[in-house]
Amino acid sequence: MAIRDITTRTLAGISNGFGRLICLASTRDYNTGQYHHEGLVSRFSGDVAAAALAECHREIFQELVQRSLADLVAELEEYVVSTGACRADVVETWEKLQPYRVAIPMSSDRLSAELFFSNIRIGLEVLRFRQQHCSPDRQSS
Amino acid sequence: MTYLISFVLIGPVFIALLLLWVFLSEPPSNLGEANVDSFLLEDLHRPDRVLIDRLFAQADWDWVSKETTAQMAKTLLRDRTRLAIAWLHHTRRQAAQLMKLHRRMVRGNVELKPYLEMKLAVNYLTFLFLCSLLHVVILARGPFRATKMARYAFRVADTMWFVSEQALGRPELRTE
Repeated sequence: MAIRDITTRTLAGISNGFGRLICLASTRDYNTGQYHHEGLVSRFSGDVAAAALAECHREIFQELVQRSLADLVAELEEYVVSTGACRADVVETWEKLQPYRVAIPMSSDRLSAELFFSNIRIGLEVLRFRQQHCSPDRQSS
Repeated sequence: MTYLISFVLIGPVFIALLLLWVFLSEPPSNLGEANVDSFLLEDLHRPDRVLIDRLFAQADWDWVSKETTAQMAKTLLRDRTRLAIAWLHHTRRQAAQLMKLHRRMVRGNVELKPYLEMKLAVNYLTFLFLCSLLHVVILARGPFRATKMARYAFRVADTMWFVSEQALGRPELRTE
């Protein structure tokens, strides 16, 4: 029930895999690793809501890990565009701060996590390369 | 006469397998047996086919080689080689752990099936041999040229898990 609630309400407006991953990771406390979502807690108990968020987070992460590199880069590009920020800035920030490292679920195994990080690193390089070769000027979206 | 020759040939092979098994086994720890079993079981994961398909995916290599620069292709090759070797070590450790757990559980099992035990031992040795071979192939030719061998190693490892479960009547182990 809680999982369905997350997919039909919380994630309904986010079609992009990275967007969903970041959204779910943002419901997790950086210090305790506990998931919390006000809307869900009002409908379910805290534990049920946290478990459902953790499960959805794990599923989306697995979905992204299983994507081919070409699909993942397309997904990443779509996410970068969806932020509405300057593409070059987003790519540079992701390369420097590596926010994707804290976006993975705690239950993920080391190999899947490393594969995911490696794919994103390559994906960001591809996006930078495309930007340099397709449009020398900075684009807003 | 033919029977005698076959016994003379099979005997040393069987003894060699048993000796190898003994040499590969680790010394007993100080932990209680039940604690060790639950600890090992908790830490055991069946190999994941999806992860192997991604790690060794030829399609990723083809795409990067075609769509990007040689430098990026080099980065992908370096990363995937490192990850493939890490996967190999991890799967090998898991298989060793499975055999360790299996040996511990077999000790108290009165309904031991020799055929399944032999099958498991042969599978384990085949798996170890494949791992060594795969290691060399990955380092020499890269993971994208070792896809079929990696899938074969996975199948052998998966059979090991299946045979061990069958032999002990144990519930299925978790999937990674």
